[in-house]
Amino acid sequence: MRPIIAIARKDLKLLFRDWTSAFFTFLFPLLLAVFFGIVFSGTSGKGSGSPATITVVDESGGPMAKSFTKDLDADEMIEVVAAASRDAGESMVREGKAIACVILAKDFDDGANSMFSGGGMEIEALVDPARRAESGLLTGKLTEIAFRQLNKAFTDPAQMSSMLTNARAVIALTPTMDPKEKNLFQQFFNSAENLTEGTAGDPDADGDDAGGAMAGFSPATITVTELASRKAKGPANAYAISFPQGVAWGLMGCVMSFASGLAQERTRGTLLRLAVAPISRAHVLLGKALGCFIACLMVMCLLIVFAWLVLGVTVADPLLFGLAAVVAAFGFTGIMMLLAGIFRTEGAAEGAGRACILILAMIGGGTIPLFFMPPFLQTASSISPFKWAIFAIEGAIWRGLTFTQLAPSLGALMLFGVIGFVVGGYAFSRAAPR
Amino acid sequence: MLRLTNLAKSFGGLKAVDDLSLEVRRGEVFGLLGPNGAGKSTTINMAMGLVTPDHGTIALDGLGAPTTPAVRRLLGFAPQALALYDQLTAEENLMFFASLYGLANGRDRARDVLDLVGLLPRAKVRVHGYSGGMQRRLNLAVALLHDPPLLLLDEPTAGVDPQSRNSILELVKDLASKGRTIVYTTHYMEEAARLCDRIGIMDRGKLLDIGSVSELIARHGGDTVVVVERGAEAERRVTTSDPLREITQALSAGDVSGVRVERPGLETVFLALTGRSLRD
Repeated sequence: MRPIIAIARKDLKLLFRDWTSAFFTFLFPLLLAVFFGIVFSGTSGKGSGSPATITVVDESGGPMAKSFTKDLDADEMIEVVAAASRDAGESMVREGKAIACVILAKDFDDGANSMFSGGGMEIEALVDPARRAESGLLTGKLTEIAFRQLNKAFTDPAQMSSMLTNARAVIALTPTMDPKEKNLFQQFFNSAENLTEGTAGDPDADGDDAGGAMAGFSPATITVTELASRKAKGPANAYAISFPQGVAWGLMGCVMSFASGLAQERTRGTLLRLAVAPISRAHVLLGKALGCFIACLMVMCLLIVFAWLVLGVTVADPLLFGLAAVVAAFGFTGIMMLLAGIFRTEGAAEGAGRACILILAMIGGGTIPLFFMPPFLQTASSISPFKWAIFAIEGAIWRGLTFTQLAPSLGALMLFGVIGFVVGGYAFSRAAPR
Repeated sequence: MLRLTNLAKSFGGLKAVDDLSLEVRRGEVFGLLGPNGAGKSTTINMAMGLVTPDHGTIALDGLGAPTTPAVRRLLGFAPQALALYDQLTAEENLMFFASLYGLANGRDRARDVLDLVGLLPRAKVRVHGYSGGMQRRLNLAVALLHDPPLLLLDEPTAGVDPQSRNSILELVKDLASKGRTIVYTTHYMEEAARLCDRIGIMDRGKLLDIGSVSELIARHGGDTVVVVERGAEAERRVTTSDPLREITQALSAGDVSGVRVERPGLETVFLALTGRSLRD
């Protein structure tokens, strides 16, 4: 263990003494996280060209709820994924698979049928705080589709008749209402019924005017709740969303510093000196890996402590964050080993290695958030460890994921780590002096 | 101390070392000379356990090849490249390597060897602030750190000023006088002649000859040249095995303004054995 610790300590010392590496490893990610935090807190993104996925939980099962869901799915900006239960829908949002979970309550149809007597469609939307801008658009879209249901009711004599019958019954059973007012309402309901019969089969008969004529009236009550940590009630601010990205850049800095450091050892001859020392190749590799692992942990801790003390970011689940940080550090140490094994000169490590890691960072959401990307890239992003690291850290900071929900990300990072250690270690052993 | 027996190593179709056998005796300074591509580095790398020979055996102090930690501790290596961490101080470099060798008194040993190479006053200075000569001396100090009985010094004076070179050569002589066995490779013939008890000359993977400087000169140097100058006449060069007789004859003839004797040196031997064609 002694040589491993000695090599790790020496590498960390070298990292801190090289101001350029130290800057790109520790300070640059901090600046980047702050920058993106400012950007997110201002515009919060503008959406993307691809449809936003939302999950719908139909607890009602009634025809109005079905019609509502069908209209929502027909919208080109939205892709609906049905969820069997509220918990399932909520999980999809927490795991970033959907921007919102729309819940149509058990009495959705009853509410829709009593729109003229104080009812209305009850819609609950659980939204991802990281997708706040798109959630705002979703609220507008839900209102629009609710109006469309009302419009359909006006053109469907049977449904309108049922709604008006409900309204008449409610008025008749209201003893405090003035008989003159009751009479006035009855005349209105009769006129509405006649109007419906006259426009039957023409859904667009007065659709365009619906908004103007019904200004101030909404057929639906939409309750929007930001789905966040079970412990911390969502991201404290935009920095909580941008800092996991900053962490990804910090990890990238560590990987590059250590990968090119190993290439430097090879080209400058110090690796030869390590090879003739009374230690094994495994000692050399593990020493390098330990140094990189510690640097990864340090950069994550530095960023999160800064975000906590200066920017008011809170960590929902410190234990899960600790676990995510350790696993991410392991995964990225493996990536470092892989790059160091493949790229054997400083030039190759600095050039080709950095290009590889930048591409992985870009497709993994390290530069542009994943939801801005087209669907095929979002799928392809699974090959990037950055995606899993960002997701694991978000999950622990503000998404409020449980260990089980975090497990796939942690597993993916572990897998990257193991593959990196095995392939990188093998490549290093083949190239290194005996 | 170091016995190489029938060593051979090929890289692809190239025979880098071809059936090489030699023995470096305890306490001697052994010079390994040869043009570029002669196979010196491969031989040294095999002797250090960094390259596995295709066949042949290596025995270091009767213990086999230095592939185990115990045998490696017997070796001190100063590579031709300056294998140092230039962002660390000299003391930090030495303490790092001391920890790899498991030296309990790492700081003391570091200061001892820094003192030995004349760098103690600059122990706390980062290596990137050192001159080329200081870096060479530190490179040598790392090899001495764990006090090994066998030192492999690969061109330890490459690219240094005359003062640093002299200092390094004096240090090597001093180490040899204290019983260290040293294998020394260099392109500087005067260094080899000054330091080495025996010299092996290699070319194209083979050991061409081995012996003391005088033995090699006797075998391959050829005769001495006596140069006689007479007033305005052109100088006369006489190749002879008896220079004293030639000088006596020239002086007896009179009108001699100068006599010069050109003795064959190690360079003559080297060129005689390896030829004059360029190898780069």
